[in-house]
Amino acid sequence: MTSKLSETDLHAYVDGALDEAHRREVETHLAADPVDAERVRAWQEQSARMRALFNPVLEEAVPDRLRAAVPPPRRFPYALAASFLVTGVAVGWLAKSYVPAEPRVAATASLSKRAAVAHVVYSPEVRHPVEVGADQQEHLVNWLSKRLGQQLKAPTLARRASTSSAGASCPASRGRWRSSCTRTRAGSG
Amino acid sequence: MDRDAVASHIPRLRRYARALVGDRYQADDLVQDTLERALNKLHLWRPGSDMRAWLFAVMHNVFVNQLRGKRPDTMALVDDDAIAAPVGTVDRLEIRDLQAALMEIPAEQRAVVLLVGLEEMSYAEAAKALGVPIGTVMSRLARGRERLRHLMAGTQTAPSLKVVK
Repeated sequence: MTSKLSETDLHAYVDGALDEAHRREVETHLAADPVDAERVRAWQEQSARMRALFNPVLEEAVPDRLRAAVPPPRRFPYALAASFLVTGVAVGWLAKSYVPAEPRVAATASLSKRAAVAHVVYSPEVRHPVEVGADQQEHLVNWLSKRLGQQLKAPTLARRASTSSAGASCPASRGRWRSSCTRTRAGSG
Repeated sequence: MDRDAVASHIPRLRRYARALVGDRYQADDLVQDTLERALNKLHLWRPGSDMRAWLFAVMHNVFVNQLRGKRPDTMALVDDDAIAAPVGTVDRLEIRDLQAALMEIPAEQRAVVLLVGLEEMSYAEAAKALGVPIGTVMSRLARGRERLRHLMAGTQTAPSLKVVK
């Protein structure tokens, strides 16, 4: 072996770990040194035989006990969860056509709205939380006119065989003070 | 998934173990111990790093621990079961010779010869897997290959062989 090359260089040559320049250098050396050439050839053959001998192991079926040594991790069951979600959405969609959704929502909304309106209507009242009797018709008309900001007239009910018995302010639908209500009593009242 | 990655290396671990230990069942024992240890220590594996190198390092540690627990003369007799190559692809007698010769060289040299020659690891990768400096890898490789060469040539004067540096 020349002094420039080490044994490590020869192994690196066998293992393909040399760059092009070094590889040529080793080849030049081997051409001139039959002893090293024979060693290198023997090492190359060792590796080639090893691979021929043991590479078929790669093709063998992995034994069950080794497969079992690496159990698949328990995952969050995404697929199951997704199927529940899809089912839930589908059921909800179908149920929509059987359950009329709007009335329930409207009822809820109108209940709170009516409560709010009633509060606005009754809370300012000091004297007349309920009603004013028909015997105080003038006071009734003045009170309601003032409350509604508009001059009112009490209806004449005699022609319909009714008499007025009392008057009160009432919250009307749609949130507007569209009317005051007058309780009427048919006949003798 | 890290576990899937571990599982994907089983064939290569088996190949190396078969060559290292010689016997098919002992080799699979070594692989099984390696897998169990690797899974227990999976949190130590740095994601993005070379999992194969890490697994071989784990296997090497398991192997060394097993060697320490055994008397040398009970270790790894050559077993025909371990010979996996179909008859005819390589001369059967030579296979037997290589198998026998491998088991005759010291385990630490055998490991390097196999990691480099069979697994085709770089010297740096082999050094990492074995936890030794590259210089140690090179000297073990040189000694192991020369011993194998003499064993295969039938000149069994290997023990006194001096490595020329």
